[in-house]
Amino acid sequence: MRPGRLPSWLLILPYLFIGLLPLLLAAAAQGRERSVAGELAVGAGLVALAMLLMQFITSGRNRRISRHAGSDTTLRFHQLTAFGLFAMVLLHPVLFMLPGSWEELGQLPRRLMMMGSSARLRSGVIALVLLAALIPMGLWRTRLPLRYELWRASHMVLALAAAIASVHHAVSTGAYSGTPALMSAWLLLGMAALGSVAYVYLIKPILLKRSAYRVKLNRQAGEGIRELVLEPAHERRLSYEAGQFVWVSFGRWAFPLNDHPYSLASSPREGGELSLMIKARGDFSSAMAAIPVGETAFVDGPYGDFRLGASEARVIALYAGGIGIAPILGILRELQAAKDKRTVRLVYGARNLDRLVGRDIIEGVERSLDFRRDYVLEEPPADWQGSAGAITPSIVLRAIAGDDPQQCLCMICGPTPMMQAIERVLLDAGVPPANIIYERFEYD
Amino acid sequence: MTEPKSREARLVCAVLVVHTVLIAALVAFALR
Repeated sequence: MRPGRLPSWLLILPYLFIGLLPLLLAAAAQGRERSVAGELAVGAGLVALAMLLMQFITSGRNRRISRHAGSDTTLRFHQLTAFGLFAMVLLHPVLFMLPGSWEELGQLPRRLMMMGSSARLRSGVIALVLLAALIPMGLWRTRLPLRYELWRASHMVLALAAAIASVHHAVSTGAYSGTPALMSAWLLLGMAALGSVAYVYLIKPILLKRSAYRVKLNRQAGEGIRELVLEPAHERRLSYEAGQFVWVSFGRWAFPLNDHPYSLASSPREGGELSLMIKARGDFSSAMAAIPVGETAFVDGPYGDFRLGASEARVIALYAGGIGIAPILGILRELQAAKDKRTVRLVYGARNLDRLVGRDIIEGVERSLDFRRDYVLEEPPADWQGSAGAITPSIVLRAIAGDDPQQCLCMICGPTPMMQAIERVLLDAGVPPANIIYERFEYD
Repeated sequence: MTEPKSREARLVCAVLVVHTVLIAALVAFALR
């Protein structure tokens, strides 16, 4: 474990505590009127509601969590627990409907109809339908004909509506949820969930206005890649560590649905300016090129766990693929500004020479650090002297050859399959899991 | 059993542990 970072497993303890809390409070309440199946049904509903409300906290915009677990791990946890949550949600009505005899089995369609049309259960049915829509929406985000911003807004609105309907259902129909202790717990958890949404969408935009930045430079850094340099417009500056990322939006308002995550390619040691390397994607590329110098930029961050920390590793091996070079450039600038004495290795894969960005920075670092680099081009020019093709296991291992794997801190940034393939090679070579750092930006 | 090494494997294990604890507590609640 790196200093300054809590072990990620510690973060599941508060999650478990909150997940179990409604069951504990219900168990402490007097009386028990149902069969085992009935109590299982009620319990599943209680756990599901606690899990649903916690989904708002694990949705990736909580800096305190992301600094220790990484934004990607937090979001992946959010995705994986959604399945368990939905299973609990389904168990809740299914266990209530479970027929105890053949006679009851025959009545099942009638009971289902009654459940569906019951005014008392309406908010519960609405919550069930909304949650059933949220799961495929999350699973097939990129396959849906929705722009990311629209997807995010609808995901948030549906989740919020599902949470409100669920709390209403629990408090209005639940025997246990009607007790003062559980009602207070739902109120507190509901306020925490609502508060986290209100913070991101209402409070944060106001705060970001006070610490806005200005576009100082907007240039073509490589084929399909732009570099934007932002300078602080006010006294307040972002306090970050090299390698972390920020959510940035441009224009008059810091509207959170318009922001995008970008890694910082700068080091805080070099002053208050922030450098962003942005890969062109669809319409967004022309929008980026059109951002004028002087435009206001709202910077929310820093996020993520892709940082050197206070690691005592003697060798730092950096692996970048494509635009994944952005945070690695920040790390290199940091090491150079700190006059770091450690051995630094870089493997940088790109499609072609025009997409190999930041060479001026890398070659500057070469002169001041114990540094060796390996550029790997998929489509090299005829006179290319470096490596060609993909980043193979032998190229990965060459960067740490002759060094004790236990003493290597390996930082990887690039497409997810590349990062996972490099991770496997490094693990097999004996690099401890805690010394392999990467952050995913794709979740599909 | 070997310790899961990759980050995804460790995360999946953590999520499985969370769900196992919640299900065990749910059963204990129903049987109390």
